Order: sequence, then C-alpha cells, then structure tokens
Amino acid sequence: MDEIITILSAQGFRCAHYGWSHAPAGDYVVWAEDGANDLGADDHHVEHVTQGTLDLFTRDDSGTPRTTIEAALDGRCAWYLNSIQFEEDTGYIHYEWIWEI
Amino acid sequence: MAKIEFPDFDVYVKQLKQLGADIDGVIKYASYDAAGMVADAIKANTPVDSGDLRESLVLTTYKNENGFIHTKVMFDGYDSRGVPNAIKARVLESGNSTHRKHPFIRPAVNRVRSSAIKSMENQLDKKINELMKGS
Repeated sequence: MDEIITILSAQGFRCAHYGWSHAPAGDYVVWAEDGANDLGADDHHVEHVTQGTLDLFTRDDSGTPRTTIEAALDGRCAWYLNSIQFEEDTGYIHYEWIWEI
Repeated sequence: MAKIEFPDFDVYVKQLKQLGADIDGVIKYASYDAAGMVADAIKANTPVDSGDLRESLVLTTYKNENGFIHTKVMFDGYDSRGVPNAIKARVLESGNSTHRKHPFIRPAVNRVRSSAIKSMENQLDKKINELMKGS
C-alpha cells in the first residue's frame, strides 16, 4: 500500500493511515488494514493476504478523484469499490474501496 | 456386444423424485447451521456500547426467490435513542467524515466463510444420503 499512497500523495491527495486526529477541511483519503483473508491448504497458510479499506471523502462530483484512485489501485492490489455514499450534512461524497495485498 | 445392467432403476428414479420434492427443505437444513455460524461471528465482533446493536442482530426466515433460497443476517429495529440499528451498523462498518470506521462485519464473515461453506457441504451430503437411503 505504501506505493499506492505515495502515488496518491504525489497527485495531491492528503492521505492518513487509520484516520485523522483533525480531518482536513477539503478532500482527503484514509486507508487502513483491518484483517486477513489468507489462502489455506493442508492446514497451512500458503498465501498471506492482508485486507483493508481505502476511503475518499470528496466534494468533487465529477468522478475524476474516483478514476485517479482506481488507476493507482489497478495492477497493484486486488480491489473493489464497496460503496458510494453521500453525506447530506457535510456535502461529502464518501467512496469506500476494499483492497487485498 | 457390451451389455450394461442397471438394476432397480425404478427405485433410483423414485429416490430422485423424492429428493426433488424435498430439495427446498434439504437446502434450508444444510444452510441453517452455516447462517448461524455467520451470525454468531458477527455478533461476537459487534462493538458493545449499550448492547442494543448486538442484541438486534437477527436471522430472517428463509425465502425462495426464483429458486434462490436464502436467509439474511440483519440488524433489526431501533436502539434506545430511536436510531435504526441498521444505520448504526453501517456507520460503524464504513465510517463517515465525522465517525471513524470500525469494520466488524466483513472481517467476521471473512473469518468464518470457509467453515460455513464446509458445514453446508457436510449437512447437504448427510441429508441427501438420508433421503436416498430412506426412499
């Protein structure tokens, strides 16, 4: 994930691991590991897989931030877009991706 | 010329017909324990504040929708402050710009998925064997 976060940071996304003590006023990204999805065979963990989430909070409804983030994820991890939610009280569009490495 | 004999063919056909007639019940039976395993894993992972959320986790009755037999594990009702438990669970699972996420559903499902599928396979084999022998 470090490589992905480096790419996103270089493209202007403000990124934090696990969360912000004080979230920025504008758009931002939060990423976190939250579990495993190892491949087991004959009582052995033959492949170690870490699973986690990457969240984007943006007020840009053009879809460009989504495209940029998915381009950074693509080919670097297994991922899917889990949800898109609109927060009426803050105006944020909240994208949530699940990733595995 | 080769000759293949299939003795008691009518018995076999009768067994298959019986299995076909009982298949909904067989699938419900096979998935019952697995659904419980998933629900228990989520319940054990549910953050506890008042305990309302954990207690609200229920399994719905089985439904057959276009041949797809399923049950749902869901957070039902409202907490003591009138907040829908499903929304509370959603905010905990995915977070929002004002609440940090605490994923507890997906990790629980990941942990129990393999054993739940294995349980369904075992129960399915067991029930089909019982029906085929009993016909």
